[in-house]
Amino acid sequence: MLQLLKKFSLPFLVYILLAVGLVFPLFNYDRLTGPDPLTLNFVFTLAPYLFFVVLGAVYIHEQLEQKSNGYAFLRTLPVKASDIVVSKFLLVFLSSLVYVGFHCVAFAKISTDPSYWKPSCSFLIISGNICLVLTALLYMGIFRYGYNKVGKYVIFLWLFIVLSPIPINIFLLRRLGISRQEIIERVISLNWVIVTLVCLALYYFLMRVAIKTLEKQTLNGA
Amino acid sequence: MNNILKIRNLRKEYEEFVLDNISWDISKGYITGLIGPNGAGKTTTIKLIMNLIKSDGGEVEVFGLDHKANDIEIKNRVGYVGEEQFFYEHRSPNWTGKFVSHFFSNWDMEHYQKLLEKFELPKKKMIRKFSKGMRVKLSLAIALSHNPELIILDEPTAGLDPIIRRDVLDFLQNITQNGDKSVLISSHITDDIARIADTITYMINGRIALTSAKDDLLANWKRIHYSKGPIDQNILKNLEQVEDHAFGGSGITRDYFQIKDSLSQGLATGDIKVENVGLDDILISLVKGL
Repeated sequence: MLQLLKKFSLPFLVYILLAVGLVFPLFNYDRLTGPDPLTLNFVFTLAPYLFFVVLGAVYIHEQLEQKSNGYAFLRTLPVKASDIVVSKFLLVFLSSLVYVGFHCVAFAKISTDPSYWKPSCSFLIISGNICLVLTALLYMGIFRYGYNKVGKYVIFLWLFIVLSPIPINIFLLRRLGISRQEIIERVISLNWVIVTLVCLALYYFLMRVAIKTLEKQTLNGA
Repeated sequence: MNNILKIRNLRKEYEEFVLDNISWDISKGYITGLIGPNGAGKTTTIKLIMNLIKSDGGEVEVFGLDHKANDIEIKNRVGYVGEEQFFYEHRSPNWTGKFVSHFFSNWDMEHYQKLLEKFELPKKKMIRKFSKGMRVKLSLAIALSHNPELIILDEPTAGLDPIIRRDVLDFLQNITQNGDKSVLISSHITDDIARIADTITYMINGRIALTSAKDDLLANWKRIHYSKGPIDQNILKNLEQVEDHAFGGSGITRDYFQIKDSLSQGLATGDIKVENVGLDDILISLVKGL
């Protein structure tokens, strides 16, 4: 399985390095001094950026696999379908963990106000968990219906995620009168430990289903 | 004989094709040729053996192991060259060798490198730039580099130039010499099968039409030419594909030894001539006879 992890890891590594490398200078961590509008905006933007990074890595990776008939090649080798799926899910988990971990450490190191960085980390951890479940569903869709069918929708979802802070801001603030601070407060009011446990259990369950789906689909000649 | 592959009542249904309860054995240490027209079910059978598609019934045992429950072990011990060759297209043969070496327990990198050289494959070139023939050669190199006990090749010589084709066939023949390796080769190029196979199986319309040792097959199947005039009914009733022409006629018999005595008088007078048939003729005869 180590070889599969190595083989599949390139898009994830590129995206994570890109994410971690670019976020730092782009988003000015020095604003993290307190719960003012600028810092809230920063935290609010990190979650969609995480989705963008992880889903983007999955999208690019699956595109490469599709182009090179990777699954068909692997099926001719003594490789278990479960090893393929577990490698992919593990990479998504590790990517999210690196992203969330990096920012949480950065928050804690840079921010002088614990009452600020603790809820910010909580917000990011919960976002990371949601990202895991979303990615697991994406893999399920790809294994069940094929990349060609699911891929075209993913690109729209991806674009939406990238651009989402703008329309969400407009919609929430101007139409509903809900501020970003309120959203963040609602999210962080959830217990991040419980959310993490529930999401990881769901992620594991979806991984098991994905293994069954891939086994079934490859044997059906898909 | 020790069977390395045992198939019982194997069935696969598609909308326009049914692989119809085939039962078939392959003996250890022999080269078995699988011949059939396009769409006969050769590739479907091979994919079912390799557990690449799901069967609708029946059993397959490779090395005495159920092919579904022991998928990984069987793939480790079988060298497979499919009808289509799949690789990571943006990678080189060198990378591919290193990658697959981690999955096969008996991978021999030195042998793989030698085969790449023998097949004159560029080791660092991206596979997507390879021709069809080069892809087949690379697939063969991978299939032969993990010391497989059974080699399954689905139309392996299609796309190869005659020199490499001959090399590949000789190579397959050599590796079965000491009796510990077996080969199943499907091909529509019957010359290739005739050259190396010990046993021939004909598959037509999803069924096994005939299985026989090649030598027995070629000894029994003969074309009989006869001059115009009265001919023994025992001969005529044993002939297929009878064609009459101005000077007599001809037909194919499946059992030359059964009519040999009846032929002796005609052979002596020169009114009857016996001609060897090729595997192609037998295939045509079997297809027309259905």
